[in-house]
Amino acid sequence: MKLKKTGRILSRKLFLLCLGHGKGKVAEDCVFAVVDALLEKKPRQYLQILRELLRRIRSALANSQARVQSAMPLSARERSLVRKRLMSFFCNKDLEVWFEDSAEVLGGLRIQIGSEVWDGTILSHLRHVSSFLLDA
Amino acid sequence: MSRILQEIESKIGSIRAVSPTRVHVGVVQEVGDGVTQIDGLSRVVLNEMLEFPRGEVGLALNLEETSIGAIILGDYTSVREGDEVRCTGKLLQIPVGLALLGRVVNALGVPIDGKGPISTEESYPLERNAPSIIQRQPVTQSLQTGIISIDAMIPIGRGQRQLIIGDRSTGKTTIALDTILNQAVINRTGTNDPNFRPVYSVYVAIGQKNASIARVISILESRDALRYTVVVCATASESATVQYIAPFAGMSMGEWFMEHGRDALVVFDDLSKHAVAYRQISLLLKRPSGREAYPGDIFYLHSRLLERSARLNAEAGNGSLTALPIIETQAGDVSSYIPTNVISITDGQIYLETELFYQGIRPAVSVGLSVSRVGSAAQAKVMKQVAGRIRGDLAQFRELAAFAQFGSDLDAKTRLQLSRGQRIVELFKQRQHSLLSLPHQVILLWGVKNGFLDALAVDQIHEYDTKLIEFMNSRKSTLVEKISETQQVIDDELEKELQYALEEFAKLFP
Repeated sequence: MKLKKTGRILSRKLFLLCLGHGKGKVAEDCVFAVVDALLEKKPRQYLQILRELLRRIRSALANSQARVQSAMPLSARERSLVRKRLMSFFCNKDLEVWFEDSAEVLGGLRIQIGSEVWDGTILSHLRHVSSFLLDA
Repeated sequence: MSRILQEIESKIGSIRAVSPTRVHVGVVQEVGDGVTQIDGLSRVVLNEMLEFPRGEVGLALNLEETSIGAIILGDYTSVREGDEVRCTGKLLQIPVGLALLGRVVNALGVPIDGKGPISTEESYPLERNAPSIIQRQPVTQSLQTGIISIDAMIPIGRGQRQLIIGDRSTGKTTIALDTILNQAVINRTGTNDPNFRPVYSVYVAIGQKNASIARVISILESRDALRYTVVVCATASESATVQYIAPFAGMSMGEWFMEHGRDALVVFDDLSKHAVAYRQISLLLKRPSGREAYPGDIFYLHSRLLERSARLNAEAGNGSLTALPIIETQAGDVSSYIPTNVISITDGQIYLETELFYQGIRPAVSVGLSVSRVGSAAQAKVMKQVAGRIRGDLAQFRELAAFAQFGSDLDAKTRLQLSRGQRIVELFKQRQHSLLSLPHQVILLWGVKNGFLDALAVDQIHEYDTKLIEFMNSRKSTLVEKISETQQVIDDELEKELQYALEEFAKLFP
């Protein structure tokens, strides 16, 4: 069932409550408190409101987390360097950086924050070359 | 082999080092029936092309708070939940240019006729702004359909939008096809004249049967008209998304001709099916539905399409794009939703009646309900002179015919009007694909106007006009050429020649 407008407004308010401690970041304890209160009160369409809240939290977390994919595991020094560069670029000291190994990228780094991706992998270069050759 | 390797190496060498690409991605949440809901894509814009992992292409149509609704062009069965989707930053474009002439393509401009790839230098986006008011000039050049009833009473001009509307199997496609065939005939005869402007045609088939489209293509091929025509196919077996974009693709192809100083004609067969396809997409995208379950912007769908046809002024290239949209009505109801929408957009309509069709009046044009808002401004002067009163004469005939059914005694003038009207109706019957050139039409209409057909029986009219045309072509070809070249009003001298020619023929005709 589609969430009604009142439900959407409520889910937005609840999401703002989840950004606790005045930092604008999703706080775990606030999330638990909000969810507990919602389950206790059970307003109309509370399941749809919960799903919408989950979507907002997931989106907020995605924007505050950076996923870094590389072909080989990065050393501690390299990780530290990447972390520092990302934090200074986004002016966000609270940015969480997660590192993943993925052999299919062949080399280089792929960094994803939310829906934005910076792709400097060899795989993307190869795709670019192949599309260039096909167009030519 | 080594040469191929060298070429590849040189091409790779010419590629500059690419800095990391920045893209926006999303994840497929739902997919079904050619429509997908995507989470993410925070910077997507309306109508932007999206790339799916296995090479499919989509268009972002719904930009909602929580998700993006996109339509998939092509095989949607390979898209899965969880697939990563990328923004391309581009609008959907299709190839345009002269290389498309003589080819049959799908809605994305990919050839489907098996004659090899099409190499074009330019691509136009599917959605484009219509020419502004300043870029336009009035419609004054005629577009001859080769059908005497239309060219005489409902003349079409280059740059006009004339709707062809009627029930199923009333001859709508035949009229459009005959117009395309006539342009090909005129194009072939005018190639020696340096000032001649050929008309190129684009036939867009939307939701049609494959057999119907195959028949159209074979007729175009057999009449040597395909080389001036582009056929865009979005058949009934293709998805609603492809049927939705096909008219825009055809319009973009026609716009290339217009913007390069040429004249083009685009036929949409038919827009009723286009509206149904758009309704299907909109309902799947969960857009609010309105009257008859159509989305609220169904009018805008057709208005933005048809507004792109125009006649441009000299500064803008002097080209023109004429549109012949086709609408199929149900049970003759022209006051239903989609037909009234398109009637209000176009510059006139040719209304085909089932009753007339089954009475043997083919083309089954209803003179009373058909109109051309451009009118005689788009007619050659000579045609205007001979055909000026035909509409009024036919209207009077229809009134009197109903009155005469009561069998009362009629005066001579009324009897003449009835007789003349019957002969005009008979003269306007024309076999499909048998086209009449402008001079032949002028001669026939002059003849009926001056009473040369009054002495004939109604069932002799068809034989008379066939033999008259043969006679004029064989023995009075200079007269025919004179009318064809000048296309100006018939002066006294020309009138005498016509009088003499028809009297001579009258003696020969049994």
